[in-house]
Amino acid sequence: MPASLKLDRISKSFGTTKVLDEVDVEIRAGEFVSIVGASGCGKSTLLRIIAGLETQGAGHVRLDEVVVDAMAPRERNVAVVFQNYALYPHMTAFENIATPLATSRLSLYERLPVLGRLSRRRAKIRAGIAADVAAVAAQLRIEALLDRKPGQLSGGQRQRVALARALVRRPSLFLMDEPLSNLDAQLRVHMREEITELHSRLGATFVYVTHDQVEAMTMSDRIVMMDKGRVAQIGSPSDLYDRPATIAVARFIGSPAMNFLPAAADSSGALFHADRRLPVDTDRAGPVVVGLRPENVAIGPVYEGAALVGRIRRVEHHGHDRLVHLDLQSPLGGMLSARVSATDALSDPAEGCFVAVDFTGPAHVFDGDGLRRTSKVVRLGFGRIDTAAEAAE
Amino acid sequence: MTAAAALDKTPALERPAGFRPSRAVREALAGSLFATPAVVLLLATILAPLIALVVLSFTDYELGAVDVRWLGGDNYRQALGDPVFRRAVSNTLLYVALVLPGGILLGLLAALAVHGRKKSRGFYETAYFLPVTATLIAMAAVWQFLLHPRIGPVNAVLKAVGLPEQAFLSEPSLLIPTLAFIGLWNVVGFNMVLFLAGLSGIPKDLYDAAEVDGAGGSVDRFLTVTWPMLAPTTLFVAVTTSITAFKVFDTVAVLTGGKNGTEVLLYAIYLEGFQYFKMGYAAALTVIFLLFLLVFSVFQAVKLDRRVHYT
Ligand SMILES: Nc1ncnc2c1ncn2[C@@H]1O[C@H](COP(=O)(O)OP(=O)(O)OP(=O)(O)O)[C@@H](O)[C@H]1O
Ligand SMILES: [Mg+2]
Repeated sequence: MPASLKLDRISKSFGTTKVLDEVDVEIRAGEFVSIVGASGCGKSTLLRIIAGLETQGAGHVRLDEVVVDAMAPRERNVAVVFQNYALYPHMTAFENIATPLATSRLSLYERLPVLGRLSRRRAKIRAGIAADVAAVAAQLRIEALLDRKPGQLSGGQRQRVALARALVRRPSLFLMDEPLSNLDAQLRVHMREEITELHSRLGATFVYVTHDQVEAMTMSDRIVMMDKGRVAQIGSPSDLYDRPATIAVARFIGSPAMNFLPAAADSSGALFHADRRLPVDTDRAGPVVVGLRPENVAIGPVYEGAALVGRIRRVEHHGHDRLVHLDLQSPLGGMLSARVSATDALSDPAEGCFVAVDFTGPAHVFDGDGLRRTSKVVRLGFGRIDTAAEAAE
Repeated sequence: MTAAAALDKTPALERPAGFRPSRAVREALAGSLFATPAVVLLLATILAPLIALVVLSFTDYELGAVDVRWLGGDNYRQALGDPVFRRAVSNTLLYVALVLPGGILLGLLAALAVHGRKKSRGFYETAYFLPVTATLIAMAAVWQFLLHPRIGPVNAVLKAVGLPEQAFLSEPSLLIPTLAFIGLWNVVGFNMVLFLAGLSGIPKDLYDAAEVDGAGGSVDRFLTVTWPMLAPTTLFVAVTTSITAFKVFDTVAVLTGGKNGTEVLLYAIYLEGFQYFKMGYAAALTVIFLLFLLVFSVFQAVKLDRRVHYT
């Protein structure tokens, strides 16, 4: 049975450093939720608190609406896959996977090395455990590896054994702490699919910690983005991509990364970058940062009155499209990258050329505190020159 | 310009074949050259004395004697028939049998107890390690006082709780156990430090995994993680402790003088060689002593390779 998880104002400090600050998260039963954020923002700590490996300073963890703060990890019926797998190096893969079953089905005395053999029911229970291990091994296609020790397995194989150990006792909640970070790029893509597939097959609740936004975007139902111990935003991958709540989210999500331009809004909300009118409006006056995804930046021949002009510094070829890096020709300097289709008329811009820059999609405006502000792009495409803006200058 | 200098300017590949030794031969030569100092030292300091010892053990050489007779295996035959030497062997084995498991167990327990402490750890480490740094000969005097039949505090305590007093240092059946106890006291601190090093090498993740797997109780943690992960340390501790125990000498020399049937191997060798000057015979006993150590070390080295390497 998948469990729902509710984190209720969780705080945690190590000594005087506050690592988690009133983290509130609700996860529905059966959901796949990723926790992302920069290194050191408290992802692992949060996961360990959910697992019961660490106690929170304040707040409650609820599983299926039951407060589990006082329960040991085992009683919470959660499984954890650790970043470096944490397989017992002296045990074979089989024994590793069998450990959680042995601890639950055999009494302590029956688990003792020599004395345990005196138990009559031990052999029968052991046979049951072996059958269950074989079943889960078949699921993960590691039957052939069961009598090897972790030292004799490749990274991907260890990963599977660790997954099998987590799976074998059918937990209601899976916790994974950067389980793919030790694998090479190709294997990572493969395991990504496999874990997603596992999630849909098991229907269990998955909480998946990663610092790789691509993993979070491709695998999750929802993403919890953390920033310095606080939740910056919770939402679906497209929520975070299309409407980042803070500048930290905007910076983190999306590859290639979003462009940022310093700007100021006048009393009417019109935005200016070094006195050039940007084709964006916001709701209030004040200094802001404008965020633009590279695919929402268009480049074209320089024309009279273009708001922004850039000089092409470098063109990166990505096959289906190209990433054009520009040095902005403005007193504030700055750089911008534009993603252009390889079939575009201007697909082969030469380095060193000057081009006009225009916005073709949503611009994200953040205030001085990094919080999102409402905004709208006022003009789209090239050549629609607003002479009124010129006049205002 | 000399011919050699001219040749050196030619690229190596163009040199006529056979002019210089092949690459493999040159590498072998250079390799042996690098190994020479170590080999010479090994020969001079370890192997040569060992060979001299073995040769000596087949003679009747006495310290200061002028003529030496070849005896063949006579020394060995005599040793095997000698009741004193046989008692020395069985005493030593008993001593090792008491110190080895006790030393491992107590060292491990002390390490486990000290490992979790944060502030007091330094104090306990130092306290347990003190006996290791103390000279056993000097400390033997303290033990002699502690265990004294009349004025010693140990017997005073026994008397106070209503137990019979014991003559720890003269009652024959108590002598080896008493010596073993002092040996234990001396070795536990050292073993504890080794175990502490082993304990800090265990990845924290494994304890987390054990806890999630339901093996979070102290017995389970110990059996699932601590004990197996300490296996290499334990074997090393076993090797060093058994060698230390085999070499017991100073407490015997100071506390009993080998009287009352307390001869041990090293003490018997010392008596034959340096009290009775029978160097040939002492050499034979030493060879037997070394064979004991060799058997232990080989057994443990083989196990060390087979079982305890996880990677
Ligand atoms: N046991 C501890 N004692 C003291 N500080 C700790 C401890 N564990 C974590 N921290 C601190 O808490 C902060 C958050 O650590 P955490 O491991 O949760 O980060 P993370 O988001 O998982 O980072 P990463 O992506 O690098 O794994 C860090 O600044 C770290 O130094
Ligand atoms: Mg982490």
